[in-house]
Amino acid sequence: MREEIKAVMSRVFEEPQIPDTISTTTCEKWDSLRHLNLTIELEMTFGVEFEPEEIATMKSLDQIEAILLKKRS
Amino acid sequence: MIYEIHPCRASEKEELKQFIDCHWKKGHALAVSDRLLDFQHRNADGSYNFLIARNRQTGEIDGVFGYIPMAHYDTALAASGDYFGALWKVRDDVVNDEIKLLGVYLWRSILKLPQFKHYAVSGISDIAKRFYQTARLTVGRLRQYYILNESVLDFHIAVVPADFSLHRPQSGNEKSQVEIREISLDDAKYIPYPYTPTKSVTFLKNRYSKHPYYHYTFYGIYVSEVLQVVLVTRVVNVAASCCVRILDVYGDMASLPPLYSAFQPLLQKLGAEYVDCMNYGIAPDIFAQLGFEELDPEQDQLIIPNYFEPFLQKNILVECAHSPTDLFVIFKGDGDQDRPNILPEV
Repeated sequence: MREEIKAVMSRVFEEPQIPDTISTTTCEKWDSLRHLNLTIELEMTFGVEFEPEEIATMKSLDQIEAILLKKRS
Repeated sequence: MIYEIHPCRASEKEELKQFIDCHWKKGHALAVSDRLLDFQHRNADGSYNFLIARNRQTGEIDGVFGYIPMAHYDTALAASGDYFGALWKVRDDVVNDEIKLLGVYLWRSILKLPQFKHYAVSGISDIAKRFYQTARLTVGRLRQYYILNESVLDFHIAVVPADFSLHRPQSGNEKSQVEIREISLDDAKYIPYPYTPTKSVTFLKNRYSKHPYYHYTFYGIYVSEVLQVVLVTRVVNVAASCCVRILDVYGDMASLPPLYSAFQPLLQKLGAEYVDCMNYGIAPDIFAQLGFEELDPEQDQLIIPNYFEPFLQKNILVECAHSPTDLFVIFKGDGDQDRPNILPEV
């Protein structure tokens, strides 16, 4: 799953490599527009729908993975 | 998570007004007029149609998202789930881990409102346009149509270039079949409305007849003595001149014959320079068939203004966005685009 998330992030942020430590504070390109795009792309890729509260907490790769794992469990 | 998002409570009204005044625009009409704020956004239970993002750490409001459900003006429309967006603002002066995601958080909370199905907004900025495109909404622009008063020689609101040639459609016998006359909305209750968002006569009454500041006049278009369509209009005065704006249309415009000749006596009676209508979603061919000319706001030398408070004698491009649904129709009167910006008592 982690690699799939990174592939989505790579497309959204237009970055060939996504570090494991990526977060809203380390990635300059992670603005509100890209966050929205990332949310929608993740929903389409993983067939889930995020709640507004989840969207607000998706601030890093680790957090996104944790939320997706919880939604799928 | 730092933020708690909830619909604005009655007890938060003053804070909301202060937020608008401080972080959106000083002296904004919604911040200074309780009558306008209550008319547009106050619900029967005292709450307001604004989402409030309150920072749990500071206790302050860091963002708001205003909206107007069509059901605000007719509760029978609730099941249609149509919402118009209004003022949307996240503070620029706050620094924390979540602030740059707050706009998205607010937007996605709008989609969770009761019975939500469709969203639309007009008068959007370039930033909002990019946001809505990213959100997979359909983005477009309101087209502006007009008919000039043939009897006016000196224009003071419109700017008509010296070399402008008046387009006068062949009228045939339209004059004898078509009549435009002022009506009561009760006469319109059997008219079908085929577009999204869904409207009703009750909606028209509450949205337009009960407006606290603006006076709207309803004209019926009769074809062979049968009422086909209702025009919601407002006369706008600028110094000693005036124009007529069609802010909403109730009915199926595609069913109408040419109207150009029928509009001329009305324009002359009102002393109006022109009648105009801003619309998204109805085919330009239909307006052309009715006798309207379309303004090209980016190319035309002719000017048909859109901003009157304060008056701005220039053409304005008005962009809009909506949920990707067929037959989506937006008029200038939808949402909060036709509201006072300068209030008489302020």
